[in-house]
Amino acid sequence: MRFFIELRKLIFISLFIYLVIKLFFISGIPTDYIIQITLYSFIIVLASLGLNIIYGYTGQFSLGHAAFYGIGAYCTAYLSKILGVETFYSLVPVVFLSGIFTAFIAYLIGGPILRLKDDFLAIATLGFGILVRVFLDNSDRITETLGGSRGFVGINKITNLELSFFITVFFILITKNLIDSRYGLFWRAIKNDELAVSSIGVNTFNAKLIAFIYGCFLAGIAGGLYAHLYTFLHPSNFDILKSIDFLIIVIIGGMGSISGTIVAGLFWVFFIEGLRIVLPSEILEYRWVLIPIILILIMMLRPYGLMVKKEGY
Amino acid sequence: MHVLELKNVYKHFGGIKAVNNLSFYVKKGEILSIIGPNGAGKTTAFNLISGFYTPDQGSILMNGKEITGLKSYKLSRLGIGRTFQNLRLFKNLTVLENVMVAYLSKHGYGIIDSIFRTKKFTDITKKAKERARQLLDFFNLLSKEHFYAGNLPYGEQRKLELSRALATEPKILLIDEPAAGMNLTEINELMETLRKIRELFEITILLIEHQMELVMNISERIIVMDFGEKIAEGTPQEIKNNPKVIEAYLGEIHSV
Repeated sequence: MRFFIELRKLIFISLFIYLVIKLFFISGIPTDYIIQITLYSFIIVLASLGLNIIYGYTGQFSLGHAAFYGIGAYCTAYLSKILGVETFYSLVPVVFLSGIFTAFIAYLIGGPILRLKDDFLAIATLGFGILVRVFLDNSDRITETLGGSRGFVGINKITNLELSFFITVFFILITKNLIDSRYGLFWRAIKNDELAVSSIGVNTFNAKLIAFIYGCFLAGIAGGLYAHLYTFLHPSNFDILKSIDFLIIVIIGGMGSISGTIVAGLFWVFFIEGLRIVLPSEILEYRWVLIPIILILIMMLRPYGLMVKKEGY
Repeated sequence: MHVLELKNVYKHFGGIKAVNNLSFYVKKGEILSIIGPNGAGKTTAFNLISGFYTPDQGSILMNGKEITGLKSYKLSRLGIGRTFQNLRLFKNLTVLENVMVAYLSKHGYGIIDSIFRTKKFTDITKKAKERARQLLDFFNLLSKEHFYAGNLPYGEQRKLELSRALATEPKILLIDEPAAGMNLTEINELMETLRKIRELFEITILLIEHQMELVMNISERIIVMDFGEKIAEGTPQEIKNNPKVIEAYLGEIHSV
């Protein structure tokens, strides 16, 4: 109960935002495509938030975040298929279960690799990302349902505004509480100076592992929602390029800033997808010239991210 | 039984004998200083005691109990606190958070408490804040509690590191060169502070320091190291007149 009382302000704000979006959707102005990318943007925010915990707050560089996002997506899609999930209410537990499964994989992987630092950790997570990609490409050998390199087809479209919006908001609030607790302090301190953290009696390995597991759990949940939004999964959606998308969002939003990740996640999706609508088709491919230029400009003007003025301020 | 005891401890890095057959003990409540030229192995000895290195041989005892090879966070929980020669503050945390995080490492609540803000969470957070403020007040840093630690002037960063170490409620505090970069007034102030914290927090202090004025004034006993070995041990008066010590610091007298 205290959870809801303390956060009532934020909950009211999000209810208001929800109503505005809902009215907008009902009004009939937005096309299906715009509705789709709106829901997608919430999912991206959720997954990026996970990476912000791991990298932005705790300083553990991960190039394999999309792999966990993919594990969540495939796990949810597979469970839905074998359990015959067709409704909103039965999807919620399946998504959570997939999140927990993803977290369990993160626990198994995090154990050995979180002992590595910086570049070595980056390479190890990159390796894990490639491993998952290769596994998904050949997954039809395990069971036909997973589809291998042809992709996982025929997933029910269940993810709607309520599901993606409220799950994302719920986890933003939980994340906020974690960041404001002693765990958040440990994570931020570890990013500053891991050795000093262990000198004050914190088991830094455990603290890093908790951050990693929680961050990957969020990615898994986001993946589950994604599967039931796009109804089709392909291994190429979860490779290193996708991981870099999440990294870009965390960095342009601001390392260690929840609001930064939200703003940057929404910006990233609406910007890339929005240009598709705005730009005439003959110069559409120039998006990939425009986007990098804008990224460079953001980094020059706001080196610590959109929502962070200066590191640590 | 001594509060801390090293027995024939060795630590070699390749061919370098950083610590070689080091044995000494620390009595409860005393201030013991370790001095010696640069590279004598003083900081290595600290790193061995606080668990950042594991000894190659030998054993370290705390109140008669074996603590050799324990990880640093476990040793901190057992009551060994330390500061660092080159400050290691959490620069992007506020002054208050720097101290709170140290207190919260021992006075814990779980993840569920954090998410749902249970009574345990609120109580412990309140206590941590209170305790941290008391410590900051003691070190005259309270007015700067919302500053980022990296923005404090050097002298105050040293004080903050001391308060962070004290927030872990240590029984033995290892202080590595607290007077580095301080002027005479600051050193005198530091001397007072060290005496006061020993009384107030009932701790044993183990000090590495180059500043002889400070060492000679404050220590009950002194250990002199050179090339990883203990070459002398005694009261400040005995150390001052020990020919071996003079030799280590000034070179051989006869060769002049």
